[in-house]
Amino acid sequence: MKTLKIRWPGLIGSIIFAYLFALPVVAWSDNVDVEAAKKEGKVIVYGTVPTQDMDSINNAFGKKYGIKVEYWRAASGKIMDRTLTEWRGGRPGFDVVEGPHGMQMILRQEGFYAKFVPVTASKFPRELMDKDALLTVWRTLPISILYNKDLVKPTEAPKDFADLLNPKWKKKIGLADPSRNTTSAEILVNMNKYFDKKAEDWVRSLAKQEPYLVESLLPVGTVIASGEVVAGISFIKYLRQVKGPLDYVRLEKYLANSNDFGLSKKSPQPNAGKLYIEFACSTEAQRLIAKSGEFPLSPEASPPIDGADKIQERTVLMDVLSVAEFKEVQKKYREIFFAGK
Amino acid sequence: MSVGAATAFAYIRQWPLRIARQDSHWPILLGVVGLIAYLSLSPTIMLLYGSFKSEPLGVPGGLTLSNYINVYADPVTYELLLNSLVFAGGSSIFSVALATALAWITVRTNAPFRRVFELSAIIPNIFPPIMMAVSWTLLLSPRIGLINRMLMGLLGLESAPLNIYSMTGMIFVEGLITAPLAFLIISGALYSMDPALEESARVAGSGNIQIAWRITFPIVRPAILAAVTLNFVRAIEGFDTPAIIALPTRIEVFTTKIFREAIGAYPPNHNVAATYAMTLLAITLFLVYVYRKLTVRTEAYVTVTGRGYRPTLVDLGRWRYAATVIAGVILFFSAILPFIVLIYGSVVSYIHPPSPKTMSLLTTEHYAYILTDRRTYEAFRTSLFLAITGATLCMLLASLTAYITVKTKTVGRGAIEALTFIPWAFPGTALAIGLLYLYIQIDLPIYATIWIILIGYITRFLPYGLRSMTSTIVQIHNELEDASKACGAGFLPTFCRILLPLMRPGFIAGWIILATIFLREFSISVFLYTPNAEPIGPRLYHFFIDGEIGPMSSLAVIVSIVSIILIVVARRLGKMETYYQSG
Repeated sequence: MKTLKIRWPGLIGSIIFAYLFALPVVAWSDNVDVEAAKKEGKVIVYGTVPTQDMDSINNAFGKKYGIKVEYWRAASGKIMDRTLTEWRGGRPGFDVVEGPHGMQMILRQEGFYAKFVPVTASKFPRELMDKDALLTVWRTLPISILYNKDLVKPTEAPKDFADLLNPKWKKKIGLADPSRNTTSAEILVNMNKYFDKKAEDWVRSLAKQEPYLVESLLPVGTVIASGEVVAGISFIKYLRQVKGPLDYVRLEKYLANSNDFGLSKKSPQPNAGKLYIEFACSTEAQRLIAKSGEFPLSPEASPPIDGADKIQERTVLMDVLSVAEFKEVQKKYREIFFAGK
Repeated sequence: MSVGAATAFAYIRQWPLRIARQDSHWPILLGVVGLIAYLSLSPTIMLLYGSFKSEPLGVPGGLTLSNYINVYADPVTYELLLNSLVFAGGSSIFSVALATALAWITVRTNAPFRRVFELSAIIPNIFPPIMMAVSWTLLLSPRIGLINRMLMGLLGLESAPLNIYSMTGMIFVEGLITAPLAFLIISGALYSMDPALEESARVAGSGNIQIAWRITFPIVRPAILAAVTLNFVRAIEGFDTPAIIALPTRIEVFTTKIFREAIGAYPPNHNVAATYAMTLLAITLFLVYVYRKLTVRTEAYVTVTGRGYRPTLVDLGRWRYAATVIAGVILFFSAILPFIVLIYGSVVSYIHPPSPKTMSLLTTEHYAYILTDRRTYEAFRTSLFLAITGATLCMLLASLTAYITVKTKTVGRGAIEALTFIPWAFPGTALAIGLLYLYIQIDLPIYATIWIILIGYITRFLPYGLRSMTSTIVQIHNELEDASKACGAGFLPTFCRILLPLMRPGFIAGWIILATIFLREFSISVFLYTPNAEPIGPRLYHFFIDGEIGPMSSLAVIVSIVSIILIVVARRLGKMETYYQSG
């Protein structure tokens, strides 16, 4: 009888090899050289989080390490335009880019990012981590129907997305122009998670409600607060970030975007860039950003929004579209939402 | 060799001789020609190149026709064309009608308080145009518009009678925004006109209306045409009003499409944006060419000589009070009301129709935020630098250019005239795309810096300076300059000691217009700014698209106050100079 002879060094090696391949992002290896970062003196960040909200992290980072954060906030489209133009012109002026996953995937394809996974992200859900360690997810942005509670009683508010097609909401709904705003286009595409094959019918019916179109999801909150419209589709976080009588509709599940950090491969201040990402993913920073209504990934941080825990439980990440898919759906949405104009 | 060819050959051979025969100012002339050629032609060529390029901005690639095929095969292009023409045509006519009425009342009649109206007519020029559009959406929005709510309450209506979110609304707002520019041009012409013809008509028994219709307006017709053309170009290339009103209206014009392709697309497509921009440039070049053809003869009239003159006032009798009311209504709608809304937006926690709840929502937090926000501070500094440096450089270049084209018979004069034709017609959005293609190729620290914005401003707004300087220089008779030369002064002493002081009113007027435009310029800046050099215009726009109406309004109020200070200081400087000159 032949006995199985186990070669322990080989087995251990195989296990480590398999483990590394199965879960490549466990390489929380990137030790950040804090002293080198301090010598660099500053970090340049392009991001989509409103400046007032990101200031909580930026100020704390500056106070802790003495490194100045030059934060430039813009909508994702503008960030992509600026970063692509700088990159292709051979003059990238940024260390870190923060933005929605769809935008980051396009920039990643251009070869923007260096491999880096911060140690502080080890507590984040592993399934959200980037296999190639080029991007670090750090927050989600759940979506619901927001409404003006001065103008609509909670009992009379839309019950769900299907209810938005009720004729009583005609011309009273705010929507980021899906032919221009990529997140809005993604939301409409991902409506199949609510309506399955009838999602496109729902989109066409929504267009017939003649929604009030704005540039992005943030002004949807503003026009609801001002009473220009009474309800609209937007991020729940705006309950904290937009002043006004806003509330949100409680849903069975919440579609959500995820936002990532990427460290530029040509970063002028690479150590400061790494340290910044590491800090933003720390529990300390995640708690700070949660205070402004953001939904960070740390299990120890939650925004002060009624029902936030349920929102986090019921979050469904949206499918991200490729560049070609974006072009196709945005053209289609222009035809649908601008019909007859 | 044919006779024609021989003549041409002889002409070319004589060039060195012709240049040598020029006055000693030919190096300056060559410098001006070179500079204007560079400013005008380089972005035009690069824009054309971009529209034929197969690869994205910054990526090496070949040439292709596919951008043009894609653009012109798309029916949307023709919608854009129609929308843009209707928008620009409507708003330019509306603005000039308002401006002509206001200018005539303030300059040529004895209407009470006319001096106040004259000063107030400049006030709208200091508001950031983007804020004018925002203010009017808050006044005429069908749901929360203050005027609509008031009318509904007064008339017992169930729905709003007015809707800013329409083509009419866009025309109305753009007309109000561009009226001050038309006012400055038309009032300048009314001030400068020789009253002898009017006096002759009066002696011949003509009435006031007859004189205004048959004498005054034909004389200022070039100025009216200039104002219509300028405002047409301003509207068709403008992005301020469409950026605010067009989207909820679902109306798209060329500039919104260019913005969408260059910045809003995922990923951005500068090549298609360049193709649309070329179309826009072709339209404006054609219109300016037509305008120049129409006005070339009348512009040559000299109405001011070395002798003194003073236009007489028209006595309106009892109608003078009606004229005051008309002027007052125009100013109330174009300046006072939007400014009140701006202040309201800056002191309430969030925008809402005024109600008893408003008192509890009053706040100074927006001002506190604006005054402590680093990015806003940097934007302010950037814009102030651009306003002062840009306006000064632009006016100096305009002065030299205007002098060479109007007063000299030097070789190359025609070339300068032809070259200034391009920036005259260059839409800001198209120019910005051309500059991006140009400076990304050149290894100089211009791309992605404040200098690319400064170059854009000077190029685009040189015609505004030229307009001001040309109309001033054309009225200065050669006798003054000839006297200087007869005393042995060369070009530079004559220019600096005789012409510049005489041109000072035009210089200051042009400087004021340019500085206030540069302070809140938006259409070029939004394409060219970078995080390190972000002017106020894009900062205001970002506040708007982020729904931050409070900080936006408070910043706009501060910008308006700074603009007023600029104007007051510039006017005081002008008066001081006059005082010193008069001894």
